[in-house]
Amino acid sequence: MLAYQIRIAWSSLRRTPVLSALLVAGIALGVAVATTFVTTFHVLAADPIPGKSDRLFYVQVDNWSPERPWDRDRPQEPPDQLAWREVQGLLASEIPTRQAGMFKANLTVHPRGQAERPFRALTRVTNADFFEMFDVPFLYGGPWDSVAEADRAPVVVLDEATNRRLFGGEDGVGETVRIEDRDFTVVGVLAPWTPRPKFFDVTNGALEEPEALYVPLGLTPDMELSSAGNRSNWKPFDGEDYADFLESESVWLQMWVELPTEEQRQAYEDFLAAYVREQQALGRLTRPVNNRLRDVREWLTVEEVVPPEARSMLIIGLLFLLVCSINLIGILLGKFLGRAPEVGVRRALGASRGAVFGQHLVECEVVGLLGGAVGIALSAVVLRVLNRLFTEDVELFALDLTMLGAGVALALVAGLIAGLYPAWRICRVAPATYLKQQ
Amino acid sequence: MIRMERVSKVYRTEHVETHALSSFTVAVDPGEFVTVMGPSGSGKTTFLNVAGLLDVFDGGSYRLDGEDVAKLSDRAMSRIRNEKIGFIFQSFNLIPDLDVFDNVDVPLRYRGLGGRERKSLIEEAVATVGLSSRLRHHPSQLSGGQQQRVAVARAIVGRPRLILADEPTGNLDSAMATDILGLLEEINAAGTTVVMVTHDPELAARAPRQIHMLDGRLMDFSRDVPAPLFDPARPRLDPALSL
Amino acid sequence: MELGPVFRAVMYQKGRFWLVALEVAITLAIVVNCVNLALDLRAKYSRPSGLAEEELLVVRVEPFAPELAEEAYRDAVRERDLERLRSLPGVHDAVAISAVPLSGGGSATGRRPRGTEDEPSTTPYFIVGSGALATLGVELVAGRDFTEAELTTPDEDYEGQPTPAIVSVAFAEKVFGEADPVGRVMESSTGESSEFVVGVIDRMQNSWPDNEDNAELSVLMPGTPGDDRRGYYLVRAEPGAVDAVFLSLDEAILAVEPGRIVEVETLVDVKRDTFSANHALVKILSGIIALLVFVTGLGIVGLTSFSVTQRRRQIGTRRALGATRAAIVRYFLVENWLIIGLGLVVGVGLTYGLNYALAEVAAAPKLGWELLAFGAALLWLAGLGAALWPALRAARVAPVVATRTV
Repeated sequence: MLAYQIRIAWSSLRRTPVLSALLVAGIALGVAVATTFVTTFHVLAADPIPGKSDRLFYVQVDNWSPERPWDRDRPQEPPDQLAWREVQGLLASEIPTRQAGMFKANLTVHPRGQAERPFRALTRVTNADFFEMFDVPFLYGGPWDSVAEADRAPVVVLDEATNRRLFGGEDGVGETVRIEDRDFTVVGVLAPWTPRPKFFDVTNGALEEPEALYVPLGLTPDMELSSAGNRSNWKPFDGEDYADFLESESVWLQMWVELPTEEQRQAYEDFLAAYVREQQALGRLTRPVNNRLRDVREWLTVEEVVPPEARSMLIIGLLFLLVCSINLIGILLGKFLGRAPEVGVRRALGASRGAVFGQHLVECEVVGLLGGAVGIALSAVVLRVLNRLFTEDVELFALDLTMLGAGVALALVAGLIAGLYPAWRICRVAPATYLKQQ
Repeated sequence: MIRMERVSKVYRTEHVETHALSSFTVAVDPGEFVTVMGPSGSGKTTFLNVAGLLDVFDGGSYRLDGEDVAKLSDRAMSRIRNEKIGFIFQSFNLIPDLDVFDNVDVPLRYRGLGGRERKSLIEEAVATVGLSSRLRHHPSQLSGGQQQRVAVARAIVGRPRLILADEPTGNLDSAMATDILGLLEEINAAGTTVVMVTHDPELAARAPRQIHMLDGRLMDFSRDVPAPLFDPARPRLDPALSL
Repeated sequence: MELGPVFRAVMYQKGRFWLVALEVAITLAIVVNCVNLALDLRAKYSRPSGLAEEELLVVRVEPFAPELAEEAYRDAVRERDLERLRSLPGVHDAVAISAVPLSGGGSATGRRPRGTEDEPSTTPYFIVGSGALATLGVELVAGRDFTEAELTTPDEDYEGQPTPAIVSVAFAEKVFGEADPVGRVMESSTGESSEFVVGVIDRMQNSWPDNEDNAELSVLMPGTPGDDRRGYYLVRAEPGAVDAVFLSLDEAILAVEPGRIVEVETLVDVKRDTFSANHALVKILSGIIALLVFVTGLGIVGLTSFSVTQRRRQIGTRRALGATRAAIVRYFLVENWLIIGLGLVVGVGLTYGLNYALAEVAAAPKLGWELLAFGAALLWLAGLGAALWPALRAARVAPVVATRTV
């Protein structure tokens, strides 16, 4: 039955090519705009690591000034990063299945040979667990092992682009590369990986490109590395050297733990509480206990990763689709009611109101789907443009299967909005009225 | 009032040429009450359309109230339609969104009269047709006969010199039809020329003069007709078949 | 001309006209809110920075040579850098600075007037060497510039006494209120750091020009900026010499000490990057506004045409009753004008509603009535224009249509 109705609808559309083109264009425009903004919102608001997002937790401890909170506008919040002392103390726990402290830095890479000048590379300084925790894919090799971690060996994982730059795309594992003041051994090369958003480090740029290098956290004191991200302190620095800096209350690190079970989570919360009490006994952490253990989605919400503009554009995009659909109501009314005599004859010959309504609605949905197809294609193009305008990551905004589905759904809804009233009007044509007059 | 000489009107489509009016000559004097009869397709409505300046004609000449209409601009024709002619249509042609008052008001608006003047003219016209109690009703709330009476009020509100009525009783039952005819006779008695197209021979019989049309030509049996009307080549019609 | 009957007809038969009114209402809501957003975004960008933006170049230096880990050596290199930079043809002046204004990256602390218990105000600061005011292009409106001595005396030598600082007018007003700030002392909440104001500059945007409230809070402190990781120079070129200077900068720096990575950018480009999302959004909003007005215009044409077609007999009747073609056009324009007007009235409510929703959910700026009035007036005109073609079509309906039975 549906196939038959679709066939009829298609031939009806072909009979008025210009009008049909107009209808399809109207829906295409609305669907293109709406799908584009639904996609941008989806990319920014989606769960970046589905399947694991409820097992990974961001750790926060309040080491801020006793006299005032970290954020005056949200006084119940602890600082959004940790101090070095916290990370060292917390890494001692054996409760999490995996854990990683981290920060981003800019390190100088000295390529071999005189041809290329040294360049800066965005680096994530972290523990080996980072890669497994965040499902980071490897092309060659793998993370450094616990021995290397304990020995603070100079090992590095490269991203695919850097591997290409240094070793021409060959397997760089085992090669040496000079970073800063020492030689590093390459233990792994990542496959192309762009987490969207960069949820493990939202405080320092959620839409930034991913890092080029990964080195062990343990090297930080040795190499006197400093963060290229945010760094804040409530106490003026009265130390003299880097060691003093590491002992200070300056917060500049992020810490994630993997706690798959409820028991682990509970145990870790207890551990955190005990750690804070311990530090308080030493005279630190003078603010009331304010630890936080937030999973990925909670953390992204608290940090408001979705820019408010994305929300605005989502609403505007959907309203735009509404206007486009309403626009088409007039055209459809004209088209359908122009056929009123024919419909009158059909009704006189026994067609029910429901049949007429259904037939016309199918016609609207066919228009909707055609317009949807064009609109989705248009949307893909627009998203490319948006990528170039907003981020350095050329594939940030892209249509995935879910969004394709969203586009189709939007097209069907648009067809419905446009066609419901005209279809209802035409099905109410009384059989006899148009038969009298010639 | 109406002086048509050899007026012709041809409708052309891709395949067919229809002579709605063929060398049509007729004369109607001021103050007359004339009914026009004839079978379907005889050109009655076309004659009315041309007479009322609703449609243009292809050949011949037409003088309305002494004025040659051939050279009139659309603007001038609109003015004449507005001031000199009143139309009554078979399907009433009332504007459904407007109430009785506003419907009768329509021709007056195109005349640029003041509000108070219009109001008094409207109330008078509506009183003449006996619908003063329904001044603010909408057409959907009126019966067929009442609607046609509103149409009559609209036709006379501007005190036209000529009323053209196209099957004014066609959609009414006999009681209402008699009503309408009575109204028209009253209007005619007051001095307005009335030309009425009708199917109904009984109604037509009440009028002092009847014109018969066939194939776009005039068959006039109640007055002496100038010779050119009779084409010797065509057979004469039997008077008994004046239906 | 026929406002009364037109109004009554529209009111009686609302069903026919609700579509156009609804479309106009929604379009008004969207367009006005988009314009509001776009204007707000543009205002943020257009605020004057107080700096000689067009003439400033940013040099970022990242040392990797091991000798540069020594502070004394770094200081010497910095001196030679500045000497070299200032000697380049086309260079007006240069300064070493701890962070780049307008770049989105910088430092801030908290200060309040000494002796008060106020909440410390956020205090974005720049550590600068000699030549700051001349290079930045900011205007000194009270007090004086740093002296040579102040620029070279290290902090420790002050032994806890207040160090000198130059503040912006906006900062002075926020922290010190209306009083003359020159000579006043400000301190951190612990009292351990303090500065006294030696000079006041008219306006200087800090590293975060997109922050509505704090963009113009700036404090300059004398010192030797730049550590073993990173340092910045701001170089001011003579007007017209910017391109030439741009090309000569990294060579000049590397000639002094090649063990560093040097990157040069114009401040204009830095600002553009900081505001890039802003710009992009304005473009997108403009596109949406144009599309929407176009689409709605088409819609009105369509719906009005349809309405005309539905009423052919009525038009013929009016013509039969004496309406001229002009009168028919006028009728439809008046009717359209009225319907759009009604749509706009409803639209006003929708516009404020949408604005409220956007403000709640997406931190959008509030709407002013002038913009709404302007938008409504514009849409009214546009709608009228859209109705012109159908109205002209209506006028072509012949009077004889009144007598046709089909």
